[in-house]
Amino acid sequence: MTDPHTSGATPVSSGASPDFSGAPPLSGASGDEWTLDPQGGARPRRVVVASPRTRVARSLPALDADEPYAGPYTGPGWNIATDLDEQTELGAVFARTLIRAQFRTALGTGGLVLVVVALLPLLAFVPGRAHVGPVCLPLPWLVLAVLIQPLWIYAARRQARLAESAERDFARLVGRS
Amino acid sequence: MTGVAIAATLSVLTLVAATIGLGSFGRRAAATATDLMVASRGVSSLWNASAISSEYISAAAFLGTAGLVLAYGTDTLWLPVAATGGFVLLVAFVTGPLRRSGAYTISDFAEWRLGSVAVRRTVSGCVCFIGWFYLLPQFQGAGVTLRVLTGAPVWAGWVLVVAVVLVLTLSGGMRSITDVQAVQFWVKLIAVAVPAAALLVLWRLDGAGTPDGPPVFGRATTIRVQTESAVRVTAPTAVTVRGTLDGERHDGERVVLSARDHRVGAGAELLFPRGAAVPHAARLPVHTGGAWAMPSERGRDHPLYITYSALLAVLLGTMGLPHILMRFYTNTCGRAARRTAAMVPGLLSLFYVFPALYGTLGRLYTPELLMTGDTDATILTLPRRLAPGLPGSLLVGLVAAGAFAAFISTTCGVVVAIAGTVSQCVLRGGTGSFRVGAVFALAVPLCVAWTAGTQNAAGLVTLALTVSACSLCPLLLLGLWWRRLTPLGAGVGVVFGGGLAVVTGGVGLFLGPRCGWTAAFLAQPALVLAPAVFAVMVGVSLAFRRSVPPRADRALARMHLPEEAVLP
Repeated sequence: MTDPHTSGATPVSSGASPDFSGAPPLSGASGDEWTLDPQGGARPRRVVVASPRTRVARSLPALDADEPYAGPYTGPGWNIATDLDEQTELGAVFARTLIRAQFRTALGTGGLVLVVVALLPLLAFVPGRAHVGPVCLPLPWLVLAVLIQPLWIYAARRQARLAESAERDFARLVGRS
Repeated sequence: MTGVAIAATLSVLTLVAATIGLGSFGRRAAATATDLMVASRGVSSLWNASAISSEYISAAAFLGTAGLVLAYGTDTLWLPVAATGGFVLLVAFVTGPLRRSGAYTISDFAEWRLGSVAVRRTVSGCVCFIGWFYLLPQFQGAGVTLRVLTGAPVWAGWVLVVAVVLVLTLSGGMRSITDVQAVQFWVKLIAVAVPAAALLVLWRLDGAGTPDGPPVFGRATTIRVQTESAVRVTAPTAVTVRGTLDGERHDGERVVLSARDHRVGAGAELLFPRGAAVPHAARLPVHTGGAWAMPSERGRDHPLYITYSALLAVLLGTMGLPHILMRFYTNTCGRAARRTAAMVPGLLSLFYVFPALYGTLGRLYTPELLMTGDTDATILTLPRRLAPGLPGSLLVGLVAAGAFAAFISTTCGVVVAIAGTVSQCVLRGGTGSFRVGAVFALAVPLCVAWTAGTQNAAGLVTLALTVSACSLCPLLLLGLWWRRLTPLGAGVGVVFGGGLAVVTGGVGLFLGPRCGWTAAFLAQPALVLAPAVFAVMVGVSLAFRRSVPPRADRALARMHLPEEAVLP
């Protein structure tokens, strides 16, 4: 089982992220290689090594009625969020990293649930007449009715917390927290 | 009996009036079809979690769990454990991304994710079947409850539930239903918790311990048999019989029942002395106290397979229930949806302790239900037995109110799910078609409700969960997490798994029990079918990988990226 503490934080440590998020030289420039300077002359083309965006710029994704996608980013700043909006390769890499991290966390929780449920029939080997507690109930009864439930509550809360922290890290990374 | 009937009728009427009152309170806001269905998305996490738990606690959980524990023993508590575990899986895999997809029904999701109207139609069909299987035990539970309390015919309960649900869904829509659901969760919890506390105190005062041998009558008991049935007697027992027994007519004579199967005619009355061993309905197993407390599925072919299969069906099936998934649309964002889902296991755990308790006490105080086979009535019979007179009647009234809250809330949720799906898929939306869909959703199970006669509520719900585990759950998991799922793969998988699960369920429902591996597979096909469906979906998708929808990457990013990162 993967340890979700490390996997939840994966987006932070992944790839070239620290170099791009909020890097000063990039702010102020338009993200699009094909934009012409208002003065008339074409600016020197900026080459983004990690993200061959030409293809995307040539074939902008079609607008969908059910997708609130408002076209390419036109504001003053440029950061990874722009890549996410424009569906570039770099944006896709970031999205995929987050999805993988979230999937690993979910698999951890799912594995825990499956293992616990798979072990339940082993309760048949607990001595059946072991009555415990003030109300004299059989031990397997107590385990099934009362003792497993806190584990589920804990697992659900932990999963929600880990997934949220991974999302928060991601939002901070792309500068939109 | 009349006192109980009056108390129960009053409490049920109060509940129905309050429900309709709440419904009409919300009606003012519900003007358009969108309002009707999405409740303006302004519902807090705890409130929505209560509503979800309320929809999940159906007749099966309320009446069925206690009945199963009474009849089959501690091992049936595996099912509530698996149900709660299913919600943990829901938190982990489904809620967040599904909410971010912005789809209202699961059919919407399938069409949006895969871009195929054909897949949408297939999924809509599946939603209908799951809903109908889910509605059957609600009707049956209502019928049993009303019959036990007032002696009314079984269909009276069906009609009452259908009438209330129709009024609710046709007038208020989901806004009022969210309020109604959330309130009803707490109604249900109080309705089981207060009598349970009283019963525990009475039990301690009584001082009876759980018996080591087979269950015995704690006092001289008269049993009136309503329909002709076969009962199994384990030890020779002297009884006073009035009516037909083994084809002979008796009129108040003492008869010694030998240790074998006997046939009891309809309307016969049997008076058992104190301490006599309880005869069991022929279809129920006879357990001694020790064997009852030990969780292991005895007396069936391939018990381990059946156990694991049922557990898997409940675990995975919970993830694919259309009426539960729709609830998350009332949350404002994926994060809120996930938080809501994470609260549900807590609320469910709180509730599930009580049916287990009732089943255990039922073995001591209402063992005659094992003979009549009405084990679903355990919760309703127990308070009167432990506390005769007015207190008992009041407790029964409270329990009855809770039981009807369970039928009404679950039925409402399922009807809204089917009506929403059908109206958007076939009738092309609008308030009018939503109402037509609601009538359609209720009519079908009402027509087949008579076939569900001898099935217990929990078994019927497991059927619905099996269909969901073998069709919608694989579709959701792969659709949410696997980029290369193709419309063809999803469609073939849903038709294959859903179709086979519906067929096995129908065979079990209409043709009755069989034996051997066939019986084991027909009873619980999930352990074989669910992995097979995953394999079919993945296999077909990989074989025709060119038809991966072009929107797959964007769809996955939209479902998993936090809202603030995508939409500035």
